[in-house]
Amino acid sequence: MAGANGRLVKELKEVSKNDTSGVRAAPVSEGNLRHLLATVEGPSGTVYEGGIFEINVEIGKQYPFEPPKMKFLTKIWHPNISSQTGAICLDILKDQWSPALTIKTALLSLQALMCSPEPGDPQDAEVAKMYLSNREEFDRTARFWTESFAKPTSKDEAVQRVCEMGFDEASARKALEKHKWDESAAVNELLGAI
Amino acid sequence: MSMSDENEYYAYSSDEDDNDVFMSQNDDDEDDDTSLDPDEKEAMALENPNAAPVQSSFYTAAVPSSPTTATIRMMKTSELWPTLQQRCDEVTEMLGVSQATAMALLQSYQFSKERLMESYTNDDPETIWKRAGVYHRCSGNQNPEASAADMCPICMEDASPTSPLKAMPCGHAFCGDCWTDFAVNLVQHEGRASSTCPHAGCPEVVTQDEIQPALEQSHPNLWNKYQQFQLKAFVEANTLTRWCPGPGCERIAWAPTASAMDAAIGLAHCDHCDTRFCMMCGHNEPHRPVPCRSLQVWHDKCRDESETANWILANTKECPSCVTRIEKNNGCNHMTCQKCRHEFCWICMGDWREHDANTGGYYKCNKYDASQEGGSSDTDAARRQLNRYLHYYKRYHAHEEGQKFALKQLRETEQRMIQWQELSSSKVTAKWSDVEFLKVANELLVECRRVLKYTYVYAYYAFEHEPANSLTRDRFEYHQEMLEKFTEHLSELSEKPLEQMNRTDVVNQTRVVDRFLQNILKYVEDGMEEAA
Repeated sequence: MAGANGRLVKELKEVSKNDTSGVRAAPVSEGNLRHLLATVEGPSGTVYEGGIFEINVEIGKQYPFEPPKMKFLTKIWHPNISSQTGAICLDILKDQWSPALTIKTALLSLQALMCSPEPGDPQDAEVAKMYLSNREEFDRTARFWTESFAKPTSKDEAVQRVCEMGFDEASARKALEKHKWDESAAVNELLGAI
Repeated sequence: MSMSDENEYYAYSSDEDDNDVFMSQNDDDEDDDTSLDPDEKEAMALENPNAAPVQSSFYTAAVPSSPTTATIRMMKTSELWPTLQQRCDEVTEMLGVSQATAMALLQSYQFSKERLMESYTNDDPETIWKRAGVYHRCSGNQNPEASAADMCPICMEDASPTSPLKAMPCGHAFCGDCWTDFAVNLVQHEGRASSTCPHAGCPEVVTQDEIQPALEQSHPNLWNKYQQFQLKAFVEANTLTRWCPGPGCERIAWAPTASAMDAAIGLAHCDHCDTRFCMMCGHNEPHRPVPCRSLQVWHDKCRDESETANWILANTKECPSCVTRIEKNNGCNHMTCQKCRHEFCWICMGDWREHDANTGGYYKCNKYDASQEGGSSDTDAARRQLNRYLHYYKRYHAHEEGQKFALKQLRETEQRMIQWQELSSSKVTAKWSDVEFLKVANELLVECRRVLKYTYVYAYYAFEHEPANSLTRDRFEYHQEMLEKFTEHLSELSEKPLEQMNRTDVVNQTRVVDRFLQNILKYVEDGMEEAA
């Protein structure tokens, strides 16, 4: 795979730019080009609007002849994304991958998936069922999740709320991170530690 | 086989008056030619067009190349390659397309030249090309947006005179290095030969025209592998070829035509690893008289029910008389308790005396009697269903075990024959030909157990809605009962120590059992209609 590293450098230069696409990615740590943290802005006009979603990206040895492995780190309520693990069901990240696609095109496809879910091919059956049977409740839940987990300020607000219950900021943040920003789980742990 | 054995057989046959109705017409022929040389008679049996077209182990033991299996051939992969090549050549010639296009077209028609040609006469060629992913290859139209590229979309390097882009017929172009990387990944990591254009969403297929220049020089072993994958796709898509299911065996069963396959009932025998299998479904042993479809359903069912069945089929049973736990270590179902000497049938656990001719019962335990179970509620119906399944499964399983024992015994006999052969060269009186009759008997026992096993699968589905007293079912069970009875008898005879064994008895029983085996298969395969 002679050209793969050269390509990766070019790709990262392109995808780390601050442009209007709403998708970005950068290495998690210096020197390792194969582990990236990507962000996707929730498309406007959708229940994800205003949210910034973090995605873990791993680039395998066979890249670009195999798709990059992507997973949502930010909790999201979407029929094709697991509400528990963040695993994504998208054809171009599986058998429809092509070596002519890039990390950026894959992230843009994720953004497109957020605009138009495909409940017929669900990753999360429970979410898909709600999407099909009770669209109002789905919209409400998805907006609530966007507010709670994907807002740039939502983390700070959560820390503040926990602090208001009488814990110091450092341990509140630590507990929230540990429990993936689930406030009640974090509070439970903090209470248990007393 | 000596002349005297033959004559004794005919004497035996005429003693069995009660079986005449169910004997095949071969009987009459042979009764008339008792003066014939035995070899000639065997030849006649083979040529008899009415005989079931299958190799009987009894006959094939004497005549190794049975004409019935000659139609299905086992091939090495290298032998099949020219067949695929020739088929491509024919398509190339008839349609005026390249070899690579011919291969892609054939692939989308499961390698059937006839279906491809038929489609060409009926359908619009563009539709066929698009379906096969060769639209641009055949029409010569490039994607307009694709032709102007000057950067390889895979490595994102600009094209240069030293590394020019090489385009697919659709116009999507990639540099030589990336083509090689693409081909290496396809063959080595994805393990297949078929792929579409590296451009996202382009349905044009990549063919040997692109792979060969990318691999042949730089990775000759992978180029070789690519061709193997093409051949694999051919074998798997083609209904007239099948990989030998023998472990690690890479031979291919090949039938020249569909009618040749039908004539052989799909029975294939690998001369390389000695596996016999069904070419139609790939099951690793012949499964007459059950059709492939029913066998598949049966196996699925057994997987679902295995918990229950396992519980019922614990490896040991209690002696019905003294309650001692008994482990079955031989193929015969006639059990004698070591402790109390009670004799019973392993299958129905009944007294063995009731299986005797004197009681008019012979071998009763192949019949499932639904009338014993009353009740009409859903629970009762479910229990009846389960009991019916268990009835057949127990017998299926018992014969499967019997088949294993018979196979073990056969291997032991073969081993003994080899030892005797070695000894005979050093002037010991025993000769391997002295026990050949035992090998023939054991081979037949393996086959009978196998067929009996599948008769229970067959019966399970064939008589699902048939009343207990239906004529076809009665007759089928009669055939089954006869085969079972004589198989048990032969099993018992052949399990005796060699010095107590009556050779003539075994030879005669072998003959008779083989006849019953052919009878039941013929009865089923003729649609269970027989001349009264």
